[in-house]
Amino acid sequence: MELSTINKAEAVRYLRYGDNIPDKTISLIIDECERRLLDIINPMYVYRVFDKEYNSEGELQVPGYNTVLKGKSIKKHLENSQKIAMLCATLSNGADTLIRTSQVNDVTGALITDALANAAIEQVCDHVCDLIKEKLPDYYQTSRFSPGYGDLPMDLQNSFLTILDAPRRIGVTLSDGGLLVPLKSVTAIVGLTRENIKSTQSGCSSCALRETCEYRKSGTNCRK
Amino acid sequence: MDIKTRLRDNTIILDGAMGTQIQASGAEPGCIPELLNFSHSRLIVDIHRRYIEAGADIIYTNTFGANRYKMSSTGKSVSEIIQTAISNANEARIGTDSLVALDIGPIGQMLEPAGSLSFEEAYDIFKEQIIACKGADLIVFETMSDLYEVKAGLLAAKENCSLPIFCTMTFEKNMRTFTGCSVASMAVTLEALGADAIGVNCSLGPLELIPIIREMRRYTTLPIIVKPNAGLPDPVTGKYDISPDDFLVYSKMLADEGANIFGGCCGTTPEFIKKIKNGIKDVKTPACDADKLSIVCTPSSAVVIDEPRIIGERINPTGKKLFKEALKNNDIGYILNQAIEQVNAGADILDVNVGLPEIDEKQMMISVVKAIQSVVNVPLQIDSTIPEVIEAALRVYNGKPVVNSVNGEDSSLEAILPLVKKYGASVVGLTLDNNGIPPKAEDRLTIAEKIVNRALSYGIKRSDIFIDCLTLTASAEQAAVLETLRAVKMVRDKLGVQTVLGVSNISFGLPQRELINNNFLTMALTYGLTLPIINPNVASMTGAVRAYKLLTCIDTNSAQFIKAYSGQTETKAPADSASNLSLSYAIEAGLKSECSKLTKDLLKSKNPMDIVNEILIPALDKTGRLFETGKIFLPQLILSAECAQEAFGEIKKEISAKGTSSISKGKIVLATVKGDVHDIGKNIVKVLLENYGYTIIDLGKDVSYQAVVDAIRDNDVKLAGLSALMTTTLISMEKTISLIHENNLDCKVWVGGAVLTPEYAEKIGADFYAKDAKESIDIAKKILG
Repeated sequence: MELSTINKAEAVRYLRYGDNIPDKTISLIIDECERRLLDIINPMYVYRVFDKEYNSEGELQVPGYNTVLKGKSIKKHLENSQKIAMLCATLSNGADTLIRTSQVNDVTGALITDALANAAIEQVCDHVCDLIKEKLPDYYQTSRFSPGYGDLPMDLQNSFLTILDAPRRIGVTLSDGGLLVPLKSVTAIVGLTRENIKSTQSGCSSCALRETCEYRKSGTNCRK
Repeated sequence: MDIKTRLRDNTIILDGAMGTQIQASGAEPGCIPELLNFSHSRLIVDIHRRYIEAGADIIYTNTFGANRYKMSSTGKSVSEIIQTAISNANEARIGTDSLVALDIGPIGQMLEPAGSLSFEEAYDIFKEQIIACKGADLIVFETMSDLYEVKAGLLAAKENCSLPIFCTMTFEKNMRTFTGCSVASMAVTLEALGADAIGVNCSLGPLELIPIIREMRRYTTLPIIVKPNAGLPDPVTGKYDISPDDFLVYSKMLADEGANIFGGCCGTTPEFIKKIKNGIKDVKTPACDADKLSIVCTPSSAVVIDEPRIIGERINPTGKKLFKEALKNNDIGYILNQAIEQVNAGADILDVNVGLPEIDEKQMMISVVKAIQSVVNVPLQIDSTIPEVIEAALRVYNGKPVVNSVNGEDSSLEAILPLVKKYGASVVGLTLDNNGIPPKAEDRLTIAEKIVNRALSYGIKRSDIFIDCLTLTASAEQAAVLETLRAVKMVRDKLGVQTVLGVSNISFGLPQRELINNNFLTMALTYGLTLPIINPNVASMTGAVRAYKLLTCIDTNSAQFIKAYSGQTETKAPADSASNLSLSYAIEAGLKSECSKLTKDLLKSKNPMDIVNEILIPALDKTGRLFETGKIFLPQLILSAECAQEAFGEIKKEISAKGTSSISKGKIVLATVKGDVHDIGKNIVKVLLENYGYTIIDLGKDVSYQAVVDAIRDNDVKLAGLSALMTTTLISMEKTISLIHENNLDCKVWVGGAVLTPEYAEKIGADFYAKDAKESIDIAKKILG
């Protein structure tokens, strides 16, 4: 897919501006970084939709695979869903290269490009969710839930990539340290529900970063 | 029949998908296919057999993921899995003349710099697979997306067995692999490294692969393999969309584009293979003159030397005080800056020379080559006099580099040319020998001829030989200038090779060097110079090459020239307004480009240290306070720090030029601790300390505990500074300090960083806490004087 613009307001929020607006100097740098990032990224994604199934122990299990979605928080997140969509999206390694190169002699640019890339990958995920909506128009969607949120283990990443055949189809792999490579990649689970249920938005209560989150400390949250 | 004969004479048919057949047999989707070699050997033998019956000349073993990383959970060793898979394949081919290929897929982890797997580890992983190849007739690497990974595999194969090697990579519709490797770079690099056949598999259907095969044929003389999917998969059902009949139609089209080895990947079955076996006959490979092209490359960028290309000369310590210091201090960042600057200025290739008697040149060369390739994508010219250094660099280089250099002496030719051949490089040959540089052009031509003939005898292509007729200094040997130019023309006309000249030498010892350099460059280009080695940062030099291309119709419609200069006005005297700015204002406002100019002006009337103490540090303090109180935000804070770095850069040059920095007040190790990549604070402290006369050993960011300890011990350092910006990495700081203490090193440690407090610093065992850069200076003075 092609992104024609990046959600700069979102990127500015990631840079901890709160409700403030960047001054002219920084705004110009943001525009330049956006242009360079859009030039170099190659957003790709894969997704698969499964029926929601439980195994004999009452745990969520991906049909056809021995992968179990462990933990209370994912169970709660998907409680009203009949199906689950698993997705993986990436900006490809161009974004990583650009950020790495900028760090040599343009640290400000690197910092801003990093925030823009984070905003861009969310846009790619939004696009995937729109596609799922087109394919399955009768289903409402929960928010995206990723390994590491709540008590959903990080070590699920490997099975996630295998199930989606992500290394072969979009070039996303896992490093020894458990990071997705390219770094600007995301995996997520979306619950698909027949009825529109408002409470399926995941909040701070299920977030692994709730204790140290800067947004939360300042009385806001990352979804605002 | 032996495979190399078949490659020469015939079209070869490969098998189709293994995975598709396994799935069709009803195996569980999550199972590990390599284990079926044991548990369902009949099934695997049957699949092989069906492909052989359909007409496959070569079958691939069921070992796609049989590497130590992917098989770690299986309880089986790599050699056990591979040997069993090979014996299954061998059982299937009994009574036929089909051959067995040991199939090797990607490791499954990304190599450096994108990922964390090192090139050397990747080599070891592949080596383990290769040495288990007994019973196979050839080695196949397939579905690769990272050229560096293929190089690791290809080297492992060449060095550990004597079987032929096929390599296929996976390209997307944008004609690149996931990691950004281009078709040209892939073809050029793998042919140079000695692959026996190269090509494409998976990812797309045969129709979509047509432009990719067409492109590949332009850049290789090797047989081309094509193993497409059965079309494109339906995103919902996963079913592939073309029939065996269509597959044949498209495969024939691929043959017309230059493919000679045909098979199928995902979604293909024995029926597909039968169709192509019976349908593809008498392939006439289109004419190809790829071997006439002079090309060097990185994975994402191939530089065709079909017009003058600029080689940047700046990464070289000769006569450069700051560069030498950077090498001694392992300051890779300094070198990376030089690389980026030259590329932005217009360099097509970068010469890399890190030779300095005091350092381990080999280790430095490896680090620098890897580091430069992680930030710029232009090809490199490996410049060293030591064969071991050249070999080390060639090994880890990603793509096809240039070696600088050999000369006409037999010892030089014998030491270097085999390396050039083995690692698939181009080579610069200097027209000198044990009698020195011949004064006459004719005699230089004779040496050039000897170098060319010797290189050809090693199997190096003529197009990969670049001859340097050597620039002599005009002030010393004025008459020699025209001899050099005559030699360039003779070499170009008579030997038909590319020509190199280091241009800047010409003006040594003369005033107005740029003027001489510029004119000599233009003259040399007219005489047939194709690879000028220059300082691309001098606008008039790069401009002379661009103007030459415009004036000789190489730059059609002046497109490159206009692109380079449009939007730029003629150089004017600097505007007055700048002088009204104060340096402190420029730092606070983030006016990076003004800072060095303002500092230069100030240095005319002010002592460097006064500028640091009275302007830079107060300005940084002020932006720090504004940030703390929420008046400015992180990007502004960092931009100001970078502005101050610009100013520090000028101050450093001034101090270095005055020679006052030659007396070091002592060595200090600086590191941003493991897991933390935020090193701007450390860099500010570094620059300050350097200006106070300390020698800084900068270990960079995300530094392992052991690396800090080693640096302290190896350099007998009495003071080390650690920085961390994130709360999550404070633990790394604590562990680093513990390890320093455990090793009983006589070294004080001070710490700093946004999240630290004096209390916490004490708790983790630091000797000092610095609240800012200024306090760091005080600590250094106290410990080292």
